[in-house]
Amino acid sequence: MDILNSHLLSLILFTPVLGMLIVLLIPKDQVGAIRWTAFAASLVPLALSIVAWLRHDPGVAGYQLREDFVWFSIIGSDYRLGVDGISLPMVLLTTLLTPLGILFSFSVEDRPKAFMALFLFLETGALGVFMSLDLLLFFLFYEVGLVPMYFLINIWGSANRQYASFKFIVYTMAASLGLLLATQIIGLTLGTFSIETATAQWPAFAGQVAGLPAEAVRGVAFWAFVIAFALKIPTWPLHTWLPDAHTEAPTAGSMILAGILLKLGAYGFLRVVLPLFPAEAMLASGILAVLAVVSIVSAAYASFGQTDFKRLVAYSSVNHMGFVTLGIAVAAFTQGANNPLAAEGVMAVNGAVLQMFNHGLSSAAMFLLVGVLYDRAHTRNLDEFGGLFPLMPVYGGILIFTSMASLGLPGLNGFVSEFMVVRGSWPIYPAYVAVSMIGLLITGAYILRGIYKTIYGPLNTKWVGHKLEISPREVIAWAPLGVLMLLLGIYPTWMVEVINAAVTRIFAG
Amino acid sequence: LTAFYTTRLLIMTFGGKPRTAAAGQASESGGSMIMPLVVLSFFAVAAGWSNIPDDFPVFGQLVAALGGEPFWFKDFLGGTLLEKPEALPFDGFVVGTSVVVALGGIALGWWVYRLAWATHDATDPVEGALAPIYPALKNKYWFDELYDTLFVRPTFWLAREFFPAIDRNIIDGALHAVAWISLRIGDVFRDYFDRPVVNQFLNDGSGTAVKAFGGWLRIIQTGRIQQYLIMSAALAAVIAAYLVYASVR
Repeated sequence: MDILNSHLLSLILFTPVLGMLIVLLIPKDQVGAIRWTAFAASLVPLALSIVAWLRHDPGVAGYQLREDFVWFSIIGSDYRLGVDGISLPMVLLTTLLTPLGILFSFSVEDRPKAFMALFLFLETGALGVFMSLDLLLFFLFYEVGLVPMYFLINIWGSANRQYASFKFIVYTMAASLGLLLATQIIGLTLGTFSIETATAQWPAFAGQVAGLPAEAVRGVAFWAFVIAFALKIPTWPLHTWLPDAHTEAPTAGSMILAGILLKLGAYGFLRVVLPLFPAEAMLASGILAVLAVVSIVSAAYASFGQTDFKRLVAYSSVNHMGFVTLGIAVAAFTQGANNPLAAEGVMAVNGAVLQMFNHGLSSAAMFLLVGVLYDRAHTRNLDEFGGLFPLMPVYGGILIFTSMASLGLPGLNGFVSEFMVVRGSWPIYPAYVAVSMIGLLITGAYILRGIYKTIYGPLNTKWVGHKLEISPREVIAWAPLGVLMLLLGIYPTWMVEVINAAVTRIFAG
Repeated sequence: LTAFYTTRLLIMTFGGKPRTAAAGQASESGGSMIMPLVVLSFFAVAAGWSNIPDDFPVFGQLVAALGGEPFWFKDFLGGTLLEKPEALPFDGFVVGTSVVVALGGIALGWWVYRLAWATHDATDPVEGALAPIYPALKNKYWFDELYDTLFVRPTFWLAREFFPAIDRNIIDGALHAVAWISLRIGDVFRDYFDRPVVNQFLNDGSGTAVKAFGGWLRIIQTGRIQQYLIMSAALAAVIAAYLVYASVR
């Protein structure tokens, strides 16, 4: 198996596309074959990324499992792949959530072939971003992920899907225009799009860039990157596409959107913005921290105020990703060799990366559970539920478990990462952290409100006699998430060690 | 007061005739409820004895005689302190006062409530006796209302009105404004460039020009082979003349 040694990442990256092509060749009335083929095709990258996880050695510096091939040498862009302790958890998360989303989507009856094909294509888009070590390749995959998502929302979404899908794609595309221009500037100036070369040369690049002083160009490029990635995370006030897109998307689409696509923004900050613009990031860290806190608090309140269960979960993503932004702000403030606060920064970034993974688990699981309820009841209005626990005891138990993980109950995964972020941020931004605690309090309130309005309280008798209970297939789609939530809550070290090794090295410069 | 309200509770619950139909149906609970209560009541009565002073009349000697250790709890807890506390001597006055007060509370409660609540909607006798402060007691000093005003309602307002309004009106309003402006710019291009210039002038205009030229050209399309030969010969002569002129120059 020589190819497994030399091209492991490429295999992970392109098996979904291969799976997509096979799915497209199956006649469209063979629905069973389409579903199982798509599911099987998505299990291969999962198995391979577990192999990648085991082969990755946290003790070794730099990117691993590298692949470098000449691709577009005339403009200095090459096919460069590699992973480190920050991207590997994201790769694992992507390859884990995709099969679960496909398994849940066995219930999609409308054009399942197109659905599965787009879904697999989406996986390649996300994986490519996490593996790219070339800015142009990074941008390419960043945009590749948008298109399938647009169609998933636009075709399989619920009532307001036209508005939501249009808002999603136009807003994201508009923001990534700056990303493209900034990428071009860096590539043309340095003669290569390699992220490693750019990391080494771009921050200190002096002289003229396209007839302008490098300082000014760097400042503009920095904000172009920040806007693109902050919109994707999303950070207040660029977040309003999210509640619409998440609410209207089909369940599996929401799982991937919340679980993976939001991480592209945070990952962009860690992989591109902080290494390429350390000085600018340090200056802007206070602004980022304020936006993070506003995201945490305002989204918690907004979530509490929703009557649509899915919208409640959607706003909770803004709330939880606020802690990731806070960790990034701390990193921006503390990175660099000999920074006396580097230890706090490392703690906060470890927490932020772990929070990215944890939010991927819990938000995907929450959307799955909302999807189960919507699938049966054809409504997501919290006021129409109540007292459903006796009607769906298994679902009730799973919902409570998942909600507690999302809420940040000690012993489950969310607590560990949020604690690390808060612990790392406290010495640097005590006032902001204190304000964000209001958000944490309201998080408890909206999560409990979600549970109370659905499975507790007086029974809404109109559901008596309906078959609401979660199906075994859906439980299987949830189970890996549940196991990881518990595992990372009790013993997070196996993942934190991998993240920490990479983060520490980045801080050391 | 504790004795008084406990007596009130007992009389309200168990005294008199059943006041509602549901109360008349009340039956004894099963073992799963009674057994835990028995265990709890045993300790409610007896747990205090673990710390009985050894000079307490009758009971102190009783505990010692039963093999217990008077002041056991004080010794147990005192061992964890920096300095072991002194045992306080038995004080008959304190014991007597508390017994009298407790019995007085029970007696007062019984006397006030012995005839109360003949029917389920009867008022509490205390409501009349303590008329000026009774509403404060009844409403728990309005602490719930205070909390409701200070915390609960502002939270709901922020969650349901304030933050959603910022998202919907201000942020989305700005986005929709951008969309509106883009559409208007598109309209301008369509109405003032695409339609008049591209459609009417270029597209329609070129069509008209081609048609007019075709109409004019039609004149020479006579179908007579002799005329075509003349035209060919004339054109060949013109080209030949040009070539000769060009090569000479």
